[in-house]
Amino acid sequence: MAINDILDMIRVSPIGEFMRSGFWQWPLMQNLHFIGLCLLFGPLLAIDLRVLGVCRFIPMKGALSLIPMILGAFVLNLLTGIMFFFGDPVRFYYNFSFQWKMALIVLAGINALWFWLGEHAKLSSLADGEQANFQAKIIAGLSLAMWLGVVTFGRLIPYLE
Amino acid sequence: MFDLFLAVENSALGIYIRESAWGFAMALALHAIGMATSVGVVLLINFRILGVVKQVPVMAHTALFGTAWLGFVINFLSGVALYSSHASKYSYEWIFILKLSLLALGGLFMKFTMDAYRSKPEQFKVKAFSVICISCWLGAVITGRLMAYFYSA
Repeated sequence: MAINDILDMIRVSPIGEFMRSGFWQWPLMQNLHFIGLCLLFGPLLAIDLRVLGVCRFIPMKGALSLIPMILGAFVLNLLTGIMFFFGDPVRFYYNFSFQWKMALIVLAGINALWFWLGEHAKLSSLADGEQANFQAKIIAGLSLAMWLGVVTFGRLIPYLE
Repeated sequence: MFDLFLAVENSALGIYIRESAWGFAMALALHAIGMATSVGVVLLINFRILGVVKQVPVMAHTALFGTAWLGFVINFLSGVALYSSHASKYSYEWIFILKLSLLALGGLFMKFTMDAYRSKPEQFKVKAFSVICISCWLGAVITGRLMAYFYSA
């Protein structure tokens, strides 16, 4: 089956039909997607800026326990994102900005995994005001850069087709 | 007033944002980044005050206010740029005026919430102000996003 057949199946699926069946579906999902973005960014900034040393006096252990809030917000945006994709799959699949956004999300996920496996345990015992190690700072910097890229390419989807 | 809005719209900035290939899109992208930064921090701190998340002490969270202000400045500047591109129309859109009002109220209630918390953390006012603050900021995000749908260009 060619990719266009798959995209067409997605397009005519019940979710796809639902997204195109009225005026409010699209703006409703967009609003949830934006709110999810804000919910994701607060705790992301708390952790990454703590690790980078910009906000050294946020307790590291407490900041790390905000990770479930990031994951929850990400799931909200994954679900609303899937709704958009089902509503107009051909447009998104071939959209340059969407492709970069997805690539950056995958990279940010790998980066987060690296953080979780390599740094999380070490950082948990970091004292207030103490600087994180260099590798953890690299990961936090990459995380911020990648997520800013995700937001930028996401917002540029309508302009880069 | 209308003449003033027209003058803004025909300023170099207004013309650039409206007519260049990337002006409007870039201002929008910056506006999304500033939103994520400022509203992200505001929501996190208010969730902490309301007890939705409890791990980090409230006053430790205030270390993020500087970053929130940076996001706010990015959004003020990108917002002025976006506004200047269609000033004579946006100025009369009820949804735009509602958004600006919610932003002003959201900012005020963030201050009221923190002032009340600093004077007496457990008083009822703190959480009441915090709920109002969250509502205003979410309202500002929603009305901002809906401008694309209610904007009668």
